[in-house]
Amino acid sequence: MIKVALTSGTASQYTDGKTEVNVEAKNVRQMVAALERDFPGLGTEIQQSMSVAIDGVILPDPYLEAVDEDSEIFILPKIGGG
Amino acid sequence: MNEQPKQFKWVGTRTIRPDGVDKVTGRAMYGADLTLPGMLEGKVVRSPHAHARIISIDTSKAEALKGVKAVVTAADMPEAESKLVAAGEAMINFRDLAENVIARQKVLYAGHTVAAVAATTNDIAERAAALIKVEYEVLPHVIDVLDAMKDDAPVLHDHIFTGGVKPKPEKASNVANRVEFALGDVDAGFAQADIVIERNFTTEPVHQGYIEPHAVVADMGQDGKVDVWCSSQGHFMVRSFCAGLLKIEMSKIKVTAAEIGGGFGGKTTVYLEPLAIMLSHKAGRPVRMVMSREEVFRASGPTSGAAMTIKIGATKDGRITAGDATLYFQAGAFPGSPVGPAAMTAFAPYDLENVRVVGFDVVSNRQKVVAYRAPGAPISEYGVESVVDELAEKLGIDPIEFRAKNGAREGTKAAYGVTFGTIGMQETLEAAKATEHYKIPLGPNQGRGVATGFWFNIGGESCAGIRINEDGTVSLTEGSPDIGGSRASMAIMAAEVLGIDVTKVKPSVVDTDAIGYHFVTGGSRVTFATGMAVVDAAKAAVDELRARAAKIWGVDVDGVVWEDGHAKPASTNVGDFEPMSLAALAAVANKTGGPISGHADINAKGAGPGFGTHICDVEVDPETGFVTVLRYTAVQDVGRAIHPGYVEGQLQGGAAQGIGWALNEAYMYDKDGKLENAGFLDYRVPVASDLPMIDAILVEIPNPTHPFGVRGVGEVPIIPPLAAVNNAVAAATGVRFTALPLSPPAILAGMSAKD
Amino acid sequence: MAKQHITTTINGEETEYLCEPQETLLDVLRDQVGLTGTKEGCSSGDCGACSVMLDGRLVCSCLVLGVEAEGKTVETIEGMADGDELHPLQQKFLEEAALQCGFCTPGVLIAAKALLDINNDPTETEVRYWLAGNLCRCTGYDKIIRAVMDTAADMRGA
Ligand code: FES
Ligand code: FES
Repeated sequence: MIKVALTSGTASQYTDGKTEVNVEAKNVRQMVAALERDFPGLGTEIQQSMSVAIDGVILPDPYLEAVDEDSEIFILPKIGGG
Repeated sequence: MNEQPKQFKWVGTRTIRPDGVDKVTGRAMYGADLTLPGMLEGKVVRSPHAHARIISIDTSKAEALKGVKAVVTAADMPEAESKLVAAGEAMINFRDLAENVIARQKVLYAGHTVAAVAATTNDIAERAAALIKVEYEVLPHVIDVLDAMKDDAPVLHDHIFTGGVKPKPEKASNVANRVEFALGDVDAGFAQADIVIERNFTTEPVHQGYIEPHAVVADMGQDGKVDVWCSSQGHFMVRSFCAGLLKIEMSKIKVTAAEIGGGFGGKTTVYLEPLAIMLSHKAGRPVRMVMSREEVFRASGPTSGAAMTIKIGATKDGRITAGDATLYFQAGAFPGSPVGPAAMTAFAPYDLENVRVVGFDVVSNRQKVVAYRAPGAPISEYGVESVVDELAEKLGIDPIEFRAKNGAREGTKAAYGVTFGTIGMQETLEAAKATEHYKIPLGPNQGRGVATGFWFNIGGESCAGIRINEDGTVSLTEGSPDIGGSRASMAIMAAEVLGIDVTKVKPSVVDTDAIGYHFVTGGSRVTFATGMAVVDAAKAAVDELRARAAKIWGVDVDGVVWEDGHAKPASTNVGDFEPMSLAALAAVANKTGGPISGHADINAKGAGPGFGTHICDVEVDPETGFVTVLRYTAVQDVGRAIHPGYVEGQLQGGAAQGIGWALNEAYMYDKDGKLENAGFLDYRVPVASDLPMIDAILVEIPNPTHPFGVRGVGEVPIIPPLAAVNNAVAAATGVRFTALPLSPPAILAGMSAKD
Repeated sequence: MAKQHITTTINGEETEYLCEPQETLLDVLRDQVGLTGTKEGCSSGDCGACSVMLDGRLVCSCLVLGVEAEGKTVETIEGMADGDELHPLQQKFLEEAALQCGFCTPGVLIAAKALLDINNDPTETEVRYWLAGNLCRCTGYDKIIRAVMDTAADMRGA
């Protein structure tokens, strides 16, 4: 099981306010699919408009990055910049 | 792993930029400088109303005018689908983008495009534009963010229902979205505090203010192939937006990046480009379009105006126990203000256990905001840094010490949820405290202010090609429009890896046909991400050079090392060979396997977060309320400065823009929702005589993920000035102001209220 | 409107052009004469990107009509270097990174040269006020001011 942290805003929309959820996944692609299954709409939202930070590194388009139970995984909005 | 500084030959030196001579002699070609045979001039017809329904558009008189070759309205443009795409600062909807380029049913701001014409001369195009008759049904409008949130406010879009709340609202609203970030328990945090300060702040919309207006030349052939020449922060962005909006295959559009006369985020989207292509398509001739300065102010940029409430609590010994912020941001006519990044950055410089930030993205009848340097962060951090400063004052703690005590360090979990790696927040505070500036005694009516700023910095897609020419020179290609000297940094990094003289490397920003996709020049990413691609490409070229030497010597490639621009045997065991220079290997390349090159196409990860601390001294004239900036110092962790001159320039330029934001700049609207100050005379950006020298101090805490340790530097410097100036004015006057800009009348009013 | 025939000297070369009576010198330079080094930032005299010398006087070419150049001399950025030899100001701007996007640079250089031609030892304040009509949004002016003062010092020393 991996631990996925969400912002409180995202949590209130998709996970009944739980800012940490657990899913079975070995990489981000599987994680997104599992989140979509457990919390309908969340996986799609992540793919469309969110980044995933793994161990402090923000990844705007993560897909095949490996994750395990020790990873710090955080879902946050996409960041651009001027 | 970072390479060791002592080994550097070029990194950290102040070379002459490769595009420099062209830029000091007038030879450099910017957006409006291209003329093609048969080229027409295009002009835009804009709405005079802030909010109105379009009843009809009659173009017949314009079309009948001699010299007019094409007229375009929304009816000529394909209908866009609702789809999210990444723009400069946030995700935006393609349908909104299409409607921002040209209005369909409604105009949503004064300045909104309704039609465009192309004619043989500018003069005829202007007369034709005046002949286009648009009938409007004027609707009530709303500009201010808090007014737009009221129940009885005119609603701009009947398809917008506030996102981010559950259950989904039943009524359409101007509040497009709500975001929330929370950590710990703020109520418990405030309960532990000995002192709690809560303030309401406002900021006005400000424009990026690049001196070069938007400009494009487009030429569509009979076979549907399109050539676009334009000034933008991303010619790949222009290609993909135009392809999507006009439903043209990407391979048919070639965009060439003109030299760009400033952008600061404001050129990360399209305005004129799709119109110019459509006009060229209809006219069968090339079309040039250039915005006037007035159009730049009315229809491009700016960033949000905002209202916010900031509440912070601390213990007597100076430890912050909780921070709470509510942010309301104007998005302009379509959703997508930078309230998300503003919310994430608000408390990011600090190590806090209890934080809550709620943000609202609110549409109103102004042009859609677009990225402006660290989008959102200057606004929210202005509020937070002003309250932090007031707390330090009330607690009797030095403001730098107070920040250091609560400041983030490696391992701190940032308020937006991510744990920081190697960062330089504490180091910038120490460096600021150690400056001479911080110790200079102040006179009467003078005050000193300090503030800190944080920005994420980003990576993203970049590519690079290194071609070793037959004479040993190097052609370097990449695709990030160079807005402030980045080609100089690319040449330096390539020369460093290849071990040759930097003047032997010629970097070029090539067109969209010549290299792979690049994300925009924005997010402080170019020297980091494109630099990483350049380093990878140069390393690939070095591997090939080693392989050629190995072939010549008849040894295994592992037996060849690359040092100082030469292939050398790795040890005496390999054999006794004369080192071969890059030029010598280049000269025989055709005999050893053909041309030598190296390429890299990457999606760069691991941009190092950036922190900066600024110190500002002001003098406030008690008679007039006029603020003079006496001294200014900008300290920043830049990871590693590849070309220190241009890095300092980023710090100085960002500080100047922030000072303008704090003291002078603001959009002002009349009661009909029309911008009253659409020119440099009334929208006053800082001029040379407004500013002192700006001391730039570079702290170098290398970013472990970049081969040379680069962090993005372009955005952080605009964040601290707003609060640094505000805090300095507070120190000089004894009044804590909570609204920007700090205009003389506002300051006088504040000072007399205190007396 | 009948176009007018104008004869003038641009960067030392006698030049003729036809222009409409309402056309600005800036438009004439850029569109008719092909000298696009002079930039347009505002067309209202507020940014200085269009600075040129007209009969030895610093002007915003967006505020001068093309017809007014009749019989006069015009100096633009394209005429500042002496062949391949850059003017000391141009050289110093490169050495000291006094430009970022470079869009204000032609106007700034023309204006700075006009200052040094009449005052080879300006104070920082003098340089700042002289260049107050030349907007630069990129640099914060620091390096521009230093480059002008350092050039003046070099020229005095030479
Ligand atoms: S274009 Fe002439 S002053 Fe701006
Ligand atoms: S260098 Fe860009 S405006 Fe001056």
